[in-house]
Amino acid sequence: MYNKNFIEFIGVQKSYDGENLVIPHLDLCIRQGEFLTFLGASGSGKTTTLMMLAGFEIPTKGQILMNSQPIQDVPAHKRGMGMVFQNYALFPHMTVEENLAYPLKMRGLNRTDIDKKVKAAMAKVHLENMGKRKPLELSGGQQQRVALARALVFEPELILMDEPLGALDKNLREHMQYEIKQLHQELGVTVVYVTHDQSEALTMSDRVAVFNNGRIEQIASPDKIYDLPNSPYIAGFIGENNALKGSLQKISGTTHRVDLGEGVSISLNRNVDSCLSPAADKPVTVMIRPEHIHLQTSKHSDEVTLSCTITDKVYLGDHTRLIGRLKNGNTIVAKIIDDLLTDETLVGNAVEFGCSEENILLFPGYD
Amino acid sequence: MKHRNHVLIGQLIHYFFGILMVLFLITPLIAIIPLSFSSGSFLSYPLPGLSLRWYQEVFSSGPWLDSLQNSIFVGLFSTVLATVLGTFAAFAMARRNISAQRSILGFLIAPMIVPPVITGLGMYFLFGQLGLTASFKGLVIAHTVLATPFVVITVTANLQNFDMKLFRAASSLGASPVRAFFTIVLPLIMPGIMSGALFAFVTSFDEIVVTLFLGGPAQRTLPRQMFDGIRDSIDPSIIAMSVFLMLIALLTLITSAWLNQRSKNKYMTE
Repeated sequence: MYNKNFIEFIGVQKSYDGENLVIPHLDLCIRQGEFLTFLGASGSGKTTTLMMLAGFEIPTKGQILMNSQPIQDVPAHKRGMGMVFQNYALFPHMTVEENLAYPLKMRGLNRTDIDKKVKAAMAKVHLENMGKRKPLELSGGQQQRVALARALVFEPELILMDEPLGALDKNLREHMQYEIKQLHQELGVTVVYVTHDQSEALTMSDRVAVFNNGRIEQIASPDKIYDLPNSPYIAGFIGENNALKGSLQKISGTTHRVDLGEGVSISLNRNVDSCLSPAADKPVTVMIRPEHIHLQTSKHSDEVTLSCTITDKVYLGDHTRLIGRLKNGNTIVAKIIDDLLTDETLVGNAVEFGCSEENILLFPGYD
Repeated sequence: MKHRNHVLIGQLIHYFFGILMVLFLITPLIAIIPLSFSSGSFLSYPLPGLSLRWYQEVFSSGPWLDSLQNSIFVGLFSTVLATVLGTFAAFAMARRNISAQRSILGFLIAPMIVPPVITGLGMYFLFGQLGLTASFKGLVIAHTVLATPFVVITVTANLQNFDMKLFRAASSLGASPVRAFFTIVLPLIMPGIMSGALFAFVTSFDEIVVTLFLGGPAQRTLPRQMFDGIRDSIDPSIIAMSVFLMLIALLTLITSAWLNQRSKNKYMTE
């Protein structure tokens, strides 16, 4: 079901002023039925890409295909994509029903069909009794639902969402994430979702495309993005990471050593990426996630040990953050479950942090 | 204590000059109102007696009523034209990043700033060539030019509160730009258009200079009739008409203020 290439961006370039490229070169495939999220900081090009897909911006170069047909010259109102806007963009002079009927009227449906579809759409987003109200008489969450229903009511194949939950408070946002995900599964529609909130991207998406400086740094499923980031940027952007600078040396076969300076080093007994392989000292960035670090009691063979002094301890309820300093002055953050803390884990004491080798990521160069 | 006295004195001066200014502006207007109810035929106090004869004279058939009719006719036509043109111009400017936007806006608003004598003279020569002098067509076109800036300004101000995302939303829902304009933009900026139209009407209704240049005997508008009246024979009928015009101006002002208030309260989204 996810295999067909529904939308394709081929060599798309975008510049607003003819000089600075917002999008230098973009190739992207969107599969039929998937939930794809564009994740990135503001100014990373994610919204520009969405606007080009919606037809509100025209690519400076390149092609956008929908079902293999070029659409970059098709005006927005003929693309038939549903769109949910930031701050909803509901028509303030129309009631909820009129807002939902609008796309159907534009398509020339008759009165009875319109009524039926509007009713069904309102039921889908749990707004049965709100039809006669004006958007400004609704709460933020209800307005959000109306916007969603309006984008769905004409049964588009593709729905675009531009930071739709940005204006809601945390609890409501989590609830709406769940509802949007439900709707996606129920309707089997393709969704392209733009957000700068990484937890939103990870929980909702089938695939996440991480944008940075107008380029897609990585596009993969959430677990791949999290566990196997392909660059230090991704590793640092998604979730938390300890980044250490070192140099890689090959000892023999699969035995490698990363020298972190001033006598601190990590031994790895595994294959490393081919781009890292050559024997001589190579600058590398070592990334270790705080939740992969534990307090070491007895040494396992496949584990790496880091001796630290605890400099800070922050209690966070379900876990405690230990901040340690290595002999070379680098700081390491560890997330430790409260049960595993001992009477000895106090600020100022020495501690052994352990981490299994497979959770240590190496990237060439210093980011 | 001393500081409080200073503040109090400052406030008093503030009010004093404020009231003085208002009096300065409206006393001449108020002073002539009783004259229109005079029973005598001279513009002088004390009034010999009260009567409505001048109102009767003005509103019974004759040159006054004819000129009122002409004014309303020219006013309505130029208002419609100015409103349509001004609204589209304002929308085009709000929607697109037109490169020479400032210069175009300046050009559109020029008739409001250029002295009317110059506009009138220019139009006289141009319309003479085109055979439009001494015709209602010419007068309507001239008044449209003069009234359009008022529409452009009020509608532009109104569009600044309009969320252009709504236009995009309409497009994404399948509305062509024209339909999106008529179903979404127009209803939402209607208060601005209405008050622009009111200003346009008043501009045409009060206009004298350009009318003197372009109007023939058949295009005698109300201000022109008054102007001639002052030159030839001055009697209270002109004052009666003036009071009537003041009333219209006042109503227009109140309506426009009310429209503005309404648009502010109704659709403020953010």
